Amino acid sequence: MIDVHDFCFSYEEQPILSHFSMYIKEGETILLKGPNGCGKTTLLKMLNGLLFPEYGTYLFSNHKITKKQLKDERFSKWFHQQIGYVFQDSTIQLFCASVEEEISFGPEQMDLSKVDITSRVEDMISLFDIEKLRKRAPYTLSTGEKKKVAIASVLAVNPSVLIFDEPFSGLDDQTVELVKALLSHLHKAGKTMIITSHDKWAEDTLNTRIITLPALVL
Amino acid sequence: MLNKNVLPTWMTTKEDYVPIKDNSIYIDKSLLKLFSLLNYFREDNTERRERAAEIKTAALFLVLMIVACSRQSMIPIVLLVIILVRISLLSGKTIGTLFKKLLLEELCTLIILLPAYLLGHHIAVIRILLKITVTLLYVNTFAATVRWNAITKGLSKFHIPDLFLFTFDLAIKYIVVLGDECIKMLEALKIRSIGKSKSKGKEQAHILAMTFIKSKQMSEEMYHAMVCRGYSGEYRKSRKN
Repeated sequence: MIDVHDFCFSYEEQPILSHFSMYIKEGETILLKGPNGCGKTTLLKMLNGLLFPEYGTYLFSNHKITKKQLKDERFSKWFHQQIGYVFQDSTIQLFCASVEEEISFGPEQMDLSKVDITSRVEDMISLFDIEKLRKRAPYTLSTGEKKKVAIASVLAVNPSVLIFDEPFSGLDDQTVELVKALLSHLHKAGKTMIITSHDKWAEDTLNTRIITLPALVL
Repeated sequence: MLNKNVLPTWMTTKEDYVPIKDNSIYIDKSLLKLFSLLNYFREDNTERRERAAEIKTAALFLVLMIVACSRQSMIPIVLLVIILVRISLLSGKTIGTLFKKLLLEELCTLIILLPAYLLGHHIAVIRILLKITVTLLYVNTFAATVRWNAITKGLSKFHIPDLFLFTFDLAIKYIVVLGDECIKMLEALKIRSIGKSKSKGKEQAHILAMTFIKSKQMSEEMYHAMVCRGYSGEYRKSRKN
């Protein structure tokens, strides 16, 4: 499903990734590990088409992902629907006026019927138990509440690949348990997932394959 | 725990999505513009030097005063020749940027001065254009060749109040910080723009609103951090010998 071959990327002449390759099958859960500054977030951004390698190829579902290819609006939109990315800092991905609007943003773009949009929004609100947050502005929420809303808004478009960048960072115990339960359900439902985390839970519980990035920055 | 032990059915089936055609190129254009602006403030320009920044700052003010006060065209012409010689020593890329900026600014000036030219004040218009060209070239060259922190260092030699210099430094720093936040939000919007957006203007307004809220939050947090470190309203910069 995801085939990364020989990725090389440097930032201000400092190598971040050097001849990095990986293959991820459909339905697999990958735990991406490595020391701080080894390029995990950079790699995730490349998988999302936000950054492009200086050298190497990236195949997603047998489609070659390049800067030129992503200039095709329709292909780019399909690609971004297929990959859901939950940022480490949830604040930057929440920009709507209310939680309800935030969750419905994706389904509305997909031109689903009003009934389907409402159904998906209600399902997400119910799943994360955030009924009392429905009308609130996302920027007024706590870190844990923002994380729930961010994940809900990403799941609402039903991507086939989910990327979680440090999903437990800055969360209280209760929200960590919620996110862990969600990841377990998504894993059982056959979603392809890539998780970056220093938490040993993913390693022990989710039958993950571990990919370790070496540190190149001296 | 999750409210339900089972995911909704639509989440367990493959989404057969075919995107509708919609133009969201404005996000890429906004990102490109922000990147180039932030690169300018991040001092990526290797031509910027710290050498004699205070002399350069004083010289700039002197030149601006002379240009403003001169009643003849000879003085601005001489200053124009001097600055063109200075510019010729810079890299091609910097020269291109300087003249591109100058062209735009000159165009705006021409539009404003057009009524005066049409009314017959040809000499005055040419003199004003000359003065503006000289002023803009000196200011833009100064900005391209002197680091931001060297400007504040230079200004401090002229006994400009520390609080003013601190505010200036902070403004530069937070342009970069908020610009970075804006870029992250635009990237998040880009990857969530998967179809036809019904209100592009609203999305852009939301990004701007969030940037404003962030700036307010950051300024409050910075103030609290300063208070925790002993700030009581009077700012004193440490003077190193």
